[in-house]
Amino acid sequence: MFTSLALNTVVLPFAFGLALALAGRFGSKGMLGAAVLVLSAAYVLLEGLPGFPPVASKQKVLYLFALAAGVALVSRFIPPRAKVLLVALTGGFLLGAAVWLGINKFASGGVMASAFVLAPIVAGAFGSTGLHRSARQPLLWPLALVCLAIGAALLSAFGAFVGFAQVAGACAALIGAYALVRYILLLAGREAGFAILSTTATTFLTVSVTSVVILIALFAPTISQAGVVVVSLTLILPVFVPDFASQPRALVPVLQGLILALPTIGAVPLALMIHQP
Amino acid sequence: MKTTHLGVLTGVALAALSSAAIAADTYTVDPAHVWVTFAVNHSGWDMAQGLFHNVSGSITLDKDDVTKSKVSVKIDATSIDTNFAQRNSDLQSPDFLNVAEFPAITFDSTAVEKTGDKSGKITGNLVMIGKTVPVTLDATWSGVEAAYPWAPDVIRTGFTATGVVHSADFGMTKVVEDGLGPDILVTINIEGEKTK
Repeated sequence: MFTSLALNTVVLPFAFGLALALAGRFGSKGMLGAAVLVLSAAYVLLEGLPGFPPVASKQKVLYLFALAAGVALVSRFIPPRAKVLLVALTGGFLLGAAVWLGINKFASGGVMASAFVLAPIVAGAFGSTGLHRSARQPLLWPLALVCLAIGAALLSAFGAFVGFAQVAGACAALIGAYALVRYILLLAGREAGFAILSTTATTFLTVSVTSVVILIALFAPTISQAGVVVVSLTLILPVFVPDFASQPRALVPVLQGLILALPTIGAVPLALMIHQP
Repeated sequence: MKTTHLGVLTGVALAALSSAAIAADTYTVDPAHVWVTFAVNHSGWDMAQGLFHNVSGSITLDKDDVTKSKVSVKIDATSIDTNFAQRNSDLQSPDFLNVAEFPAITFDSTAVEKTGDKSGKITGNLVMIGKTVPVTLDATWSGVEAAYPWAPDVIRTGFTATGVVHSADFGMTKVVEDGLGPDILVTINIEGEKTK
C-alpha cells in the first residue's frame, strides 16, 4: 500500500520530470507537448482515467489540463506588454475552471463560503504578466510552481483531501525534478545543450497547477482558507522577485527559491491551526 | 329489509377498504430510531465501523402482496460518523463520499421478492457520489406493530436490512488504496411509524 503510494506520488512523477528536462535535448518545440503528456500521466497514475462526461469535479481536472494547453497556445500570440490580455486570458480560464469545478457545490448554496477561491484566480491572472520572465530565468517559474504545489499538497493533506494532496505532491515532484536537472546543468555549464521550458509550456504548467489548487480549495473538507490565500501569493512573487544579476549564477535560483518559498512557509502553520487530528 | 341490505353492503365496502388500507401500510422513518451502519475491512486487522446520523424516508409494506411493497430512503452523507473526527472529514472528501458535491445518498426499491413469512429481498437503485448502482438487500420485518402507551394513535414497526456495497462499483479507488474493503457491509435498522 505505502510502496504504491510513494511510487505513484513521488517516484514516477519525479521520473516524468527528469524525462521532461531531458526532452529539452530535442529542442524547445516539443516542450509544451511533453509537459502536457507528463502532467497528464502523473494525474492518471493517481486518479485513473476519468469518464466522459466527468461526474465528479476531481475527474474534470484532466480535461482542464487539456484546456490549459489551449490557453497556453493562445498566450503564445499575446506579447508580454499586452498585460490586460494576458490577465483576461489566464484569469478568464481560471475563473471558468472554478465555476465548472464548483458547479455542484455552488448549486447547493456554497458560493459565498467559497469566495476565498478568488485568491488563486486573481493571483494566477496577475502572475501571468510575469510569465515572460521564464525565457531569461529558466528556474524562476518552475521553483514558484514547486513551492505552490508543495503548499497545496500540505493544505490538502491537512484539509482531509489526501487524494489531491498526492496529485499536488506529484506536481511538485515532477516540476521539482525538472528544476533539479536544470540546476545541475547550470552548475555543470551545460545548459545550452538542453532547451528550457518555453513560456508556452510554463503557462500551461502554471494554469494547470493553479487549477489543482482551486480544486483543493473548493473540496478539501477542512481546508484552511487563510492558508489558500497565503499560498496563492506564490503566483504573484515571480513578477517581483529580483534577478539578482550581481550574484553568481548558481546562487540566483537559491535566493529566488528562498523568496518564493515564503508563502508556503507561512501557509503551513495556518493549515496546522485548522488541522485537529 | 332494504335498510339491512344497505347496511350489509356498506359494512362489506368499509371492510374491503379497511383491508386494503391495512394490506398496504406506509410507514415514515422515525429519525430518532434509525441506524444505518456500515463495516469495512481495515487492512485485515479488524472491521472498522461507522454510521449515518441523519436518515429519512418511507416504507410501504403490503402484507397481502409483499412484491408490491416499496422502500425509499435518503441519507445525509455529511452526517457520517466513524468515531474519529479526522476520519469523518477524510470520508467526506472527494476521495470517498464527496459530500460537497453529492450530499445525499438515496435508495429507491425497484423490486421486492418474498423469501419467508417476514423476510424478503429488496432490489433497488443506490445513488451515491453521482452514480446509480443496483443493490439487493436482505430484509426482515419485525412483525411487531404496536404503539407507545403515550401515543396510542401512532403505530410503530421495525425493519432490518443487510447488504453489500462494492466500492469499485462507485469508482471509489481510494478505498482499496487505503487498505480498506473493498466491500462495504451495510446494516439498516429502521423503525417506521404511521398514524392510525
